[in-house]
Amino acid sequence: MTKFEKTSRRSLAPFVAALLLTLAILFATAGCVDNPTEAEDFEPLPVLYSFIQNDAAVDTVTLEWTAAYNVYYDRSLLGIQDAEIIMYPTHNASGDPVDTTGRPELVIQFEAASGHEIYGKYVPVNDGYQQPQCLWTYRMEARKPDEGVNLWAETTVPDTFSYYTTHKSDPLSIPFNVDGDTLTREDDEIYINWTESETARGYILGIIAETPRDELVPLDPEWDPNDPDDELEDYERGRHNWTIARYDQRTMTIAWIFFQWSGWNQMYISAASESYYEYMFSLMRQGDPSLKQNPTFNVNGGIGVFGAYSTHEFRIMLERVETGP
Amino acid sequence: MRHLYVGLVIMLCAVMTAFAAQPIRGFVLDSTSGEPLPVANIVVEGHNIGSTTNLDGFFVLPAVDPGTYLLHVSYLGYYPNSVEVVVTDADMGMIEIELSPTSMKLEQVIYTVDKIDDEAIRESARVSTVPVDGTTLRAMPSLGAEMDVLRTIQAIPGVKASSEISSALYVRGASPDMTLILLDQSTVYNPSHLFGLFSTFNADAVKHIQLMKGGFPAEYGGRAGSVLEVVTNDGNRREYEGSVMISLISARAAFEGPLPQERGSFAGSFRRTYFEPILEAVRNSSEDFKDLPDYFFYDGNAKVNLDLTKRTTLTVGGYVGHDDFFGEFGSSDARLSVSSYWGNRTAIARLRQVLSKTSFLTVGLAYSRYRSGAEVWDLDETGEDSDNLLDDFRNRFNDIAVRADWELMGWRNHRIKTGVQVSQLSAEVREESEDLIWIDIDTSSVNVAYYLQDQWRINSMFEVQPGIRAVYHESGDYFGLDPRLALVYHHSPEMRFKLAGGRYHQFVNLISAGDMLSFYDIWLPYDGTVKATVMNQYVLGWEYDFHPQYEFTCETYYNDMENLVEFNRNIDEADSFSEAFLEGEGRSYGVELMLRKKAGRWNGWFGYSLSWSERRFPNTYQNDGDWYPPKWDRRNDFIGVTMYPLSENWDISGQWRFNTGQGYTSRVAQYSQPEGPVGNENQGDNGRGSLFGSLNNYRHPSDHRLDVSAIYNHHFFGLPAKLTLSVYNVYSRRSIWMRIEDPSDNPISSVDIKLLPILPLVGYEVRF
Repeated sequence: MTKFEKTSRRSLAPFVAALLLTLAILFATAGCVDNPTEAEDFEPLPVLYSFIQNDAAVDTVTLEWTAAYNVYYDRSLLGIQDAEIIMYPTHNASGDPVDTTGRPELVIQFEAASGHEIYGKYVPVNDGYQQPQCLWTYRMEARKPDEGVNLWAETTVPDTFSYYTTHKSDPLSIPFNVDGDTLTREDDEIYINWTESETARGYILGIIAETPRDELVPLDPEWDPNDPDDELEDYERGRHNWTIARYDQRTMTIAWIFFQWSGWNQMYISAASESYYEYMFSLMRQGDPSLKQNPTFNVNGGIGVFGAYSTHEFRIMLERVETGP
Repeated sequence: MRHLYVGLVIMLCAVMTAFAAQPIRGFVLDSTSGEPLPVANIVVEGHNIGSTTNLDGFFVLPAVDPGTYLLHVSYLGYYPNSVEVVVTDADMGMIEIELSPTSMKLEQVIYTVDKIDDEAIRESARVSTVPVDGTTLRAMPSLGAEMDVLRTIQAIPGVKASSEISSALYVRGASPDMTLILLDQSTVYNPSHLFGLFSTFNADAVKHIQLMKGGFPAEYGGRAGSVLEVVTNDGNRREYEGSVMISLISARAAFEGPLPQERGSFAGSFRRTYFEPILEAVRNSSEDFKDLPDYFFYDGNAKVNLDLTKRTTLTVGGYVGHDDFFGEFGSSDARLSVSSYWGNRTAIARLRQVLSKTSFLTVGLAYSRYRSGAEVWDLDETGEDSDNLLDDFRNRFNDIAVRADWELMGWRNHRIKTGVQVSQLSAEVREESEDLIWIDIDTSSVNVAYYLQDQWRINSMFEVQPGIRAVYHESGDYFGLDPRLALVYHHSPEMRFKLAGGRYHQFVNLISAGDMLSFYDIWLPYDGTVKATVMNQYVLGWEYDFHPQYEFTCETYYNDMENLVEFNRNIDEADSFSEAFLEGEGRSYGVELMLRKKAGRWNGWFGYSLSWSERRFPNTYQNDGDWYPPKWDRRNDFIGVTMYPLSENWDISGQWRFNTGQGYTSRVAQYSQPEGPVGNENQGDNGRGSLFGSLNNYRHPSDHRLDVSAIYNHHFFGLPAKLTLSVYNVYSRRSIWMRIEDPSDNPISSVDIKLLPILPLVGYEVRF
């Protein structure tokens, strides 16, 4: 049935030669890839960080340069010194513009923090007699023209709110105050409830261990201080653990895995401005190592965050439960 | 729309009056199993006549005057056959032509096509289409001695993987969700197991695969980039047969055979991994491994073909695939459990009817469901789930489609096909914790598509395939019109030039957290809040069959993408498409070369692609709105695949590939990174952050890898058996999967996470 015939092979040489020539031309003209130098050519950017709280003196403002990506990071070499930094309100709680002309009492001037000049730390002159008010919008400006520094950012201070804690197993029970309590991981989990803070973009809940970093003792019952394998590396000694809650969230159960260290721990719940919340949200997103995305900044002319918050704090003593023999 | 219907009616009227001579029609079948063979070529010697079978193995040649004709029939992976056909004035009925698979080890014969009337050697006007037969699929080197459909497809120039452990398909610069994956004409939404390591298709069940990289005809739609069509075995119509295969990671079994009274056939296969006992043993071996999670996957196919009449066949089939992951982490008094799952289910019921001498009708109902989910629980002191649900993620995507296709073949060198498809696309996406609902999307939309296409052989030099696809999407009340055109110029018997272009709409999109996090894949249909994605494709090709055993193809393409979408990672709530996605645009272009040897003792191909892909999302955070290359943009890809029967018992195969390194985003600076007002002093050296440059601004080193496989065919207690020895990454060149910074070092150091080293694996299969 088969009618095909056997055939002799034709010469492949011309075709193979043409093919190889084509490949060679493609490689030569397209190249493998360009060799970028974006990291090597990167110009340092000014960085500003400041977080203001309602009815509290303005804390430190940090102004520094970014460092090259591949060098030893020495913060003392990066501070921007002798900059002019001011903060003033732009809108009041009603949303009306605030005219600061001729009202120097509304403008906070900053000066280098004594002993921290090289780190680019600034504090309000005279402790900032003007304290940020809830629902007011503030603008911060930092200038050092001879080094090309001209930064500004605005933030609105969230309103106050209240909170209470209950038993996780019985959230409808009478609220109780855990402030100052001694707890273990065998206790009921802490269940936090809070009320709305107007203009808050979200909430930040955090725990800060009060024990010095080199004396931290994990709550993990299997941790053995005498086992070399259990020795804590420096990067494992983070004293601050935090999470976020969205603007419409009102409750949160704090799982015990959230607490790492025994001893006194300070807990806080903060209503965060848009810039503060989105910055923290973006830091949390960076937990995915494959996602190479920069944090969300709100400082114009450089990077950094000018944020605002109102907060509540309380302390609890956490005791480690030893495992049995 | 009205013009389309008028055109259709005119064509139908013409058909009614056109016939005087008799068409030659019938089926092309596998000689061993009686299964119909799709996309087989049929050529009439000495005449400018040819055709290909449709997916049901049916063909019709144009009407010819009474006389004796010699048909040459060929199909990839089968020995060609020639059949003499006598045409008389009377209706000659349907003929059956059988082909024998090359795996039968018949005497190797070099066939020539020189004697065949040259113009009809290649009938198809399809551009950028690469068929892969089951024989090639089963012979390719594989990871874990597991035959893998998608990894075979990744060996075709123009198709890239995001990494060597990923089975996702990036075709001509498009993202994986732009490839329509059809399993027996039912859409599959997540084609991977084991975090992307294996594809969901059980290769035992696969009969035919064809990848249409671009410029595909109007009968396909719903995705903007490419089409991967997988056809599973119908089942042996002559005898019962089965196989059992075990490898180091899974076992699979397949069984098929005829239905009683020769009324049809059935086929089924099932595969499951058995990691659990191994993982359990490792967990128990040391305290260090106590948190090792559990994992398994399974998949299965089943298909029944029932011949209702000689002309009518009902096919009922289904597929199920499921991945399951469970782990517990943390110290004994504060533990979390993480459980996740993902998988597809499809079901089809399809009626195909030979309507007349030259027309063929199929009517089908297809259901496809993709679901995924993950739960994170806080465990109580007894180790049971407490009532503290930390995260609960669920995605359900349902696609219910009814379609009818009518095909007219062999009418005056035309092959006309028209059809309509009505789909109901619905999705539920919900992510919540005990305290809050983060994402809550519940959307549904009806999508209606109508197409009309023709494949017209104008004369011995030109073929043209015009088509139009009209789409209506309920959400947003959107109407789109996709014109398609392919043109083939036969310059000489050995040389052809091809041109294709078209517009392609897409109404579903994928939010992917990456190949490793398949359970976070979210499929969403357009809800009308953003515009549908559209791709305009242009393809120019040159084919040169400079030797009877070789095919050379060179194609260049340009794809222009409108309304691309990318998941918006800056949101913390979403209840609509526009909130979940950024909108942008893209383009990709390149050149692909493929030299394929399809006959003779050794088979294989060399492929090369030179390509560019870019996209941008203006006025968004994504690369500050500027153009950037996606992760899968790689300039050079080269692959060589060869398969060689060493002896009567031994088959060997190998593949070597070289490709430009994958793009990655390098940090460009470091800075102190306070955690809000708390500052960064509590974190020690960790209190620094990295500032990243433009997206994918650097590249990892180029990769190359060699995989080899040897198959020993023998008998095991009288049953045909196959021992597969496979070595993955023979010279153990470990490519970089990702680069992450170690902030505990000062200066910050980089750690390269590398992929698999040399991996020898073994599998054993017994057929009965």
